[in-house]
Amino acid sequence: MFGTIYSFELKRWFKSWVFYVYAVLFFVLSFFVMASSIGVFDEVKATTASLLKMNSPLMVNNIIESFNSLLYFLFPSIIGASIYRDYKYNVHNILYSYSFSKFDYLGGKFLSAFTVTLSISFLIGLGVFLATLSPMANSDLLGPNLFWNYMQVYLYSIIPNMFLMGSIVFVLVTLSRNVYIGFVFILVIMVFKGFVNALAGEEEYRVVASLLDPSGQQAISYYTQYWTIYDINNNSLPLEQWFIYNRLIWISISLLFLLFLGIVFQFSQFGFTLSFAKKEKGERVTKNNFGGLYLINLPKVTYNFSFVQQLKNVFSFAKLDYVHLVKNNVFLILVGVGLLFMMSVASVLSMMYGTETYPVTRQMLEVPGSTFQFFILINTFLGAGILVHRGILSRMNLLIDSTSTPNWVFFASKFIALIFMQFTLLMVILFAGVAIQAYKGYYNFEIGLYFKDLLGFQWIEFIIWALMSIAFQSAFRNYIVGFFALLTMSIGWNYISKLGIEQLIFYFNDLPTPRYSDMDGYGVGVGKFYIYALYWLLFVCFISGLTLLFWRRGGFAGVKERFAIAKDRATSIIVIPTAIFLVAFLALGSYLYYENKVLNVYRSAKDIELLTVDIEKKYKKYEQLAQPRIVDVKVDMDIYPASRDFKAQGKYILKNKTTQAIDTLLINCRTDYKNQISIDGADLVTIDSISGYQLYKMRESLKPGDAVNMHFVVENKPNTLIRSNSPVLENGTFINNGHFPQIGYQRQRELSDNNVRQKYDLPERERLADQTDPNALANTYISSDSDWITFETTVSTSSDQIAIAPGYLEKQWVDKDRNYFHYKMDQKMLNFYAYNSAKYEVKREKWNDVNIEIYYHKGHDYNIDRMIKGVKKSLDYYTENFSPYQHKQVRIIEFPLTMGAFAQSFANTIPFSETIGFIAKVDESNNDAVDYPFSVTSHEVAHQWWAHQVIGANVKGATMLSESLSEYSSLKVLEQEYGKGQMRKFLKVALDSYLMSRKNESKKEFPLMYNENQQYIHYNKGSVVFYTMSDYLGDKVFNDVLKQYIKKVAFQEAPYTVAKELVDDIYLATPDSLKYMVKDMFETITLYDNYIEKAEVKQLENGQYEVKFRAIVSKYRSNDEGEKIYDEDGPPKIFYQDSNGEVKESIRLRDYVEVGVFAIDNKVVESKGDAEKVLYLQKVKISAIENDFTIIVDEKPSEVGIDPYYKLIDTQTYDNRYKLK
Amino acid sequence: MKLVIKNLSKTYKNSVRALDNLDLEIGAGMFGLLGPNGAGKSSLMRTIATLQKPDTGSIYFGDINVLEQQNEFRKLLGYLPQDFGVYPNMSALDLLHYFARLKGVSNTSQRKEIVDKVLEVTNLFEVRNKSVSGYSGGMKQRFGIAQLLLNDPKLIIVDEPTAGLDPAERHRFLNVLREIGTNNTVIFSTHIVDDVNELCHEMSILNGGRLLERNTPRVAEQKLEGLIWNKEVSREEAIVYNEQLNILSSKYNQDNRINIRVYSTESLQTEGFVQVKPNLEDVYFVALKKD
Repeated sequence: MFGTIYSFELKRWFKSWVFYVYAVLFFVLSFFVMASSIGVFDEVKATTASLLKMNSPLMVNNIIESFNSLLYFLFPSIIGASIYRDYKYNVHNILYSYSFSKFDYLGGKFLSAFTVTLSISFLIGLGVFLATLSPMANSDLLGPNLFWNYMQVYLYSIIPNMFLMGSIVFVLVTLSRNVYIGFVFILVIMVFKGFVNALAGEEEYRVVASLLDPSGQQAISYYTQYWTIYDINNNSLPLEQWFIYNRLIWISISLLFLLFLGIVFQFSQFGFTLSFAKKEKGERVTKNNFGGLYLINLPKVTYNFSFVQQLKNVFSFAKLDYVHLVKNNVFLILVGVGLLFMMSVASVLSMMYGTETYPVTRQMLEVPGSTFQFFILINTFLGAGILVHRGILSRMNLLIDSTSTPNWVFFASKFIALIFMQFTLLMVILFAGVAIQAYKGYYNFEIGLYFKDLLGFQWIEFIIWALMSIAFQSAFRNYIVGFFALLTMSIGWNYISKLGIEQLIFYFNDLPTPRYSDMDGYGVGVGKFYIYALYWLLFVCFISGLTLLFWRRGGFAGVKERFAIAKDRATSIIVIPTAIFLVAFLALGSYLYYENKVLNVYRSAKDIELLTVDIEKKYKKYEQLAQPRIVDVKVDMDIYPASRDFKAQGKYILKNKTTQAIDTLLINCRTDYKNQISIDGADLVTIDSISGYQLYKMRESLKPGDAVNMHFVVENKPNTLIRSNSPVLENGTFINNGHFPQIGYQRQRELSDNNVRQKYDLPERERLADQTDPNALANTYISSDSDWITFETTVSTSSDQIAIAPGYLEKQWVDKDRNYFHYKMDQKMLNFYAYNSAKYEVKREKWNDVNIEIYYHKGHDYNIDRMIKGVKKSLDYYTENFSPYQHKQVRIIEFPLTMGAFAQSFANTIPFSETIGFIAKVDESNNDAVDYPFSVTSHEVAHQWWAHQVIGANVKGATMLSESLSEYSSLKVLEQEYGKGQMRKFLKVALDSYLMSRKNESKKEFPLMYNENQQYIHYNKGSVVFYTMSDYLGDKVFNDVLKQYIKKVAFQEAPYTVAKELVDDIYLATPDSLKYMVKDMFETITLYDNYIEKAEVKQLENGQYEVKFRAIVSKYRSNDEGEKIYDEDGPPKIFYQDSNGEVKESIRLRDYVEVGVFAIDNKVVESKGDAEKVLYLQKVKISAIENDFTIIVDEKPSEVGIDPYYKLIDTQTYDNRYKLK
Repeated sequence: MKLVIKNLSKTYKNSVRALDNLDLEIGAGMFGLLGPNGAGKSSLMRTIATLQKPDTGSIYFGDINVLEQQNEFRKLLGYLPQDFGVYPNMSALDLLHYFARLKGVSNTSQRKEIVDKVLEVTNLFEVRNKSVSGYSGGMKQRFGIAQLLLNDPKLIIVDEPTAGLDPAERHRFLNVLREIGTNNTVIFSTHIVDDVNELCHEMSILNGGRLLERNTPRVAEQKLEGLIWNKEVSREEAIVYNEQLNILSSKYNQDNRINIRVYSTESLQTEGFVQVKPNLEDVYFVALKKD
C-alpha cells in the first residue's frame, strides 16, 4: 500500500505544471547567480574578481543553502498540504474507510512530497554545477569540478535540513489542518536563525550557537570561521564534533515530531485538537420548527449606492478584513515571536568589545532592522492572498460577487485592511522599542522619531508592496503560488545587478531610505526618498488599475475569457486614471533617467572600470615626472549648512624640491566640482574633464629650490532635490582636503586586482611598493604631493554653528550673520586637514598647558569625561615614554554617522563619529567590557605621535608604524587604567578579528611589517604583536626602542622611514633567546596551535595541590593564501602522535610560552571584576610539541592554561585553558 | 418585468457545451428549471446572475441589459447558489449586516430593521448570534434565503436549494420561496420533480444546454394523457421489455418485483399493461428520452 500511495502522489506532482514552474525557477535562478559569480556576465558588468574558487565545498554549500532557504517557503504547500489536500477536497471521508496502515498513509504521503522537494533542490545543485561548465566562465574563479563537492553539501547540510523542515511542517499542517501554520513555522525558524546568528557574534556563545542553529550553518562556521583562502579552496566541509552533534540533535527532533504524529494521528473526520479545557456537557439537539407559513412583508428600506456611501462601506469592510487578518492566534504567535526576537537581539547587536550602547531611539529602530522588516513583508504577501481569496477560500464568493457593490470597494477595503495590519506591526516595533528602553532604564523616548521613521519611511515602502501584493494575489488562483511569486520577485529582482543594470529606477521599490543621525536627522536624502517613493507609488497605482480590470469576480474559464471580462470593464473611469498613472510613472522615470544619465554623468561599475583603465593608460607616463611639492597652504573655506554648499578658495605654495628644473605641472581635480585653477607663470595646456587631470606649462621653468603660487577655487555644483553634489550637511559637516586639487599622478586610483588588470593588458602591480623602492620612499603614505606644510585657514559657517580646522584659533568674528574662524598652525604639519561644522556644545579642560576641548552634540554627553580622561592619561603616558607632544591643544569633534563610523586624527584635531563612543554605556566593573570611548580616544591621541611625528614612506608596512603602534600605545594606556582584565578581552577580540578576516583577503596576506594597508593586519594582528613583544621584552626596554626610534625619524624629510627600520631596532634590543619572535611576529605569517590535552589535580598531604597536565604547542608558517607550511629552510619539522593516533606537526620549536595555573576568587565573581587569581605563571621554554608539567601550588586551582592570555597568534584560543574538575 | 434570454451559448475549456443557443423568456411567478445533473442548469443560472460570461447571446431583464449593466441588474437580483460557504466564526447577524451593506442598505436603523425581519422570516432569529459555519444544512439554506431577501430582489435565482434537506426543512423552504415568488420572478432549478410539481406554475426541462420542454406542469402532464402504461414484472421480464419498449422508469417494489412505466402511443393492454395517469416525472423522462 505504501508503494501505491507513494507513486500515486509522485505521479500527481510530476504531472502538475506547478512543479515544473518551481523546478525551472530554482534551476534558472541558481544557474544565473552562480554564472554571475564566476564571471560569465563580465562582458556587461564590472569584472568579477576573487581569490576564492566558487565551486569549493564551502562556497557551494553557501549558495545552495541560500536558495534552499527560499525553497522552504514551498514546504507548507508541497509537504504540508500532502495530507491536508485530502481534507480540503473531502477525500478523507472515503480514504479513511480503506484498510491501510498509518505508516503506509503517512509515510507514503510524507516521503513522496519530500521526494518532490528534494528533486527541486537537486535542480538547484544542477543549476550551480552547469553554470560552472559555461565557456564564458572565468577559470580563475573555479577549482577542479568534483562531484564530491556537491555530494557532501547535500549529505551533511541540505538533505538533513530539508528533512527537519519538511517533517515538522508535515506534522504541524497535518495536525492543524491549516497550511498557514506551516508558514508560521518557517517564519519562526527564520527569526530563530536571526537570533542564533546574533548570538554567534560573541565568541563565547559560538558553541551554543553551533548546536542551536537548525540549519547547521553556525556549526560549519564554527569550524570554518578561521579558514584562510587556501582552506576554503581546498578543504571539505568540516564533519567535526559540534557539526555532527548539531545534525544528530536536529534529526532526532524531526524524528520525534514524526513519531508524535504517528501516535496521535487518527483516520478521523475531525482534526486533532489539543485542549486542556474540560468539555462541556453536550446538549441534545431536537427539531421542533415543523411547518409554519409566513407572510413576508419586508420593511421598506432605502438603497443607497452613492459614492460617499460606498466610501463608508470601504472602511466598514476594511475593518472586517483587518479583524480577520489580525485577530487570530497565528498572527498573535507571529507578533509574539517577533517581539521576543527584538528583545533578545537588542542586547547583543550594538556590542563593541563587550560594551553596549545606550538604547537611543535611533538604535532601537536599527536593531530590529532587516529581520522584522522581512517579517512584515512576508505577512503582507500572505495577508494579501488571504484577503483577496477570502471569498473563495470560504466559498462565500458567489454570494458576495452577485451583490451590487462595485469592485473598487472590495479592492480598496482589502488594501486598507492590509496596510493597517502593517501599521499594527510597525506599532509593535514602537512599543517593543520603548519597552526595551524603559527596561534598560533609559527614559528619553523620542516618540516623534519613532513615528517619523516607522510611518514616514517604512510604512510607505510597505504600502507600495501592499498594492503590488494585491495585484499578484489577484492574478493567481492559489494564494500560496501568489505568495511564492511575490517572494521570488522581491528577492530575485535584485539579481538584475548581475546583468549590469545598476540605476535605481530599475529596482522595484528599492527606496533610498536615509539613515538617521542624532546630529543631522535624516539629512540630505529625504527628498530623494520621497521622489522614488512617488515613482514606485505611481507604478503600483497603474498596476492597481490593471488589478481592478482583472479583479476576480464570479468565475471565468481561462486567460482569454479573463481578458474579455477586463475589456468589458475597461470604462473610461478606470482606464483614464490608469493611463495617467502609467504616463506619470514613465515621465518621472524618464526624468530620473535624464537627471542621472544626461544632466549628470552616470557611470556604471563597468564604465568606471573601463575609465580607470583608460586613465591609467593615458597618464601613467607622468608618474615619474618631477613635480614641485606643496609647502604652504592657505584656504578660505565657506560652508553653507542651509543650502549644503561650500566654496573653498585657496593658495598652495609649490616648491621645487628636486634637483632638476620643472616645466610641466600635472594637477588633479575632483571632476564632480567646479574647479578654477591658476598657477603663477604657467599656462594651461590640456584639461581633461573626465579624468580630472590638467596639464600646465611653466613659461619659465621652475628651478630647483624655487617656488610658485597656485590658486584654486573649488565649489560644489548646486544640490538638487534628488542629487547631493556636496558633502556639506545641515548639521555636522566633515570635509577633508581630499576634495581639493592635488599635484601629480595619483597612483591609488589605479585598478588593483591583478586578474582584472590582466584582462585589460595592464601590468601586474602590488598595492604598495617595496621598502627599497627609492621613488616610493620619497613620499609619505598620506600624501604624494607634499612633505610637511605650513597651514592657515579661515572657515565661515552659519551663525548657529561652530567651524573647526587644524591649528589654533587666532580670531573669531561675525560678518553678515555668519561666523568666521581663523585658524593657524604654529608649526609644520602633514598636508592632511579637515573642516567640521555643526551646532556644538563645548567642554574644556586642561592638561598641563595643553587645552583639551570636546565639541559634541547636545545630549551626547555620556562619555565626555571619559574621553577627557583618555586624552589626559594618553598625554601622560606618551610624553613620558615616547616624546613631548608637539601641540598645545587636543580637540575631539563629533560628526554624524552618515559620514562614517570611525575616528580620525588630524594635527591637534580629532573628528570622532557619533556612533563610536559618544553613546557607549561603559560598565567599568565588568572586565569583559572594554571602555572603548577611552581606548579609541587614546588610539587617536597616539596618532599625534604615530603619523603626525613619525610617518612612514608610501611602501609596504607603512601602516604598522601608524596604526599598529597607535593600537599598542592605546593598549598600554588602557592597561594602566584598567589592569590586565580588559586587556585580555581586547586582545581576544583583536585576535579573533584577525583570524576571521584572513579569508576576506582580496590579494595576498602579508606579514605585519610588509602589510599593504590591510586593516585586519595592522590593527588586529598588529595590536597583539606589539603588545606581546613589549610583554616579552619588558615595557621599559620596548618603549625605549620606540623612544629612540622617534628621536631618529620624527618630522624627517624624504626618504621616509620604513617598517624594517623599526623592526631592526627591535631586533637589536631583543635577547638572543627571543630573536625567533621577530621573525615569527613581524617577518613571517606564523601561527600557533596551542592547547591543553589533559590535566588533573590532587591534594598533597601537606595541604598543597599538585597539578599535572600536558600542553600541546605547535607552530606553522602560512603563505599569502593561508596554506600551512611546516617545511622551511633549516632544521626539520617535528611530530607528535596523540592518544587518538592523530599526528601533529610543527616547525622546530625553541619558544617561550606562558604556562599558568589559576584559581577563581569567588568573592570577586559576583562583582564581575577580575575574579582570577594567578597561582603560577611562567614563560617556559618549549622545544617539543608535547609538554608535561607538574606544578605544585598552595591553593585549590580551578584552571590551567598554555598561553592563557592569548599573547601568541593562536588559531584556536578557546582550548588554551582547561577547567580542572 | 420579463427576463428575456436570446441565443445564449457557452463552451467550457474542456469543450463541454454547457449552453447551446438557448432562448428563454420568463415572466413573474415561479419558474422551475428541471434537468439532470450536468444539464447546464447551474451554468445558466450563474450566467444570469452575472457571475460568468457567455460566449454569445443576450440577456435582458426589463430594460436592463444584464451582460452590460451588471451592477444595475445586481441591485434587482437575489441569488442563492447551489453550494456556498460563509466566512467562518461569524454570526448570522454580523454576516447579514455585512450583506445588507453590500446590497446598499446604508441607514443603520433601517439595516437593523430589515436584518431582524429576514431573520424572523427565515426563523433564524433565535440562532442569530451563532456562527453560520456551524449551522445545519437546512439552517444554512434558510440563511441563504435571508441574505437574498435583503435587497428586495425582483429576480430571484435559486439553484437546487432543496437538495439534502429533510422533509420538514424542504417544506419550510418551499413555502418561503412561494411567498416571495408571488410578486417577483423566481427561477428555481432542481432535479427533484416534486419540487416543480408543488411550486411552479411554469417549468422547463433543460438537457445538454438546450431547452426541451416549456410548459405549465399541468398542461405537460395532460399532453401525455393515454400514453403512459404500467406493469408489475419480474427482473427477467423487465430486461426483455427494455429491448422492445420505451421504458421511462423501473422501480422495485417491496415484493422484489419491478413496476415499469412505459411510454407508448399504441395500446399495450394486450401485454397486460394498465394505462395510468401521467405525472410530471413521466414528462421529464419522456423529454429526456426524446432528446
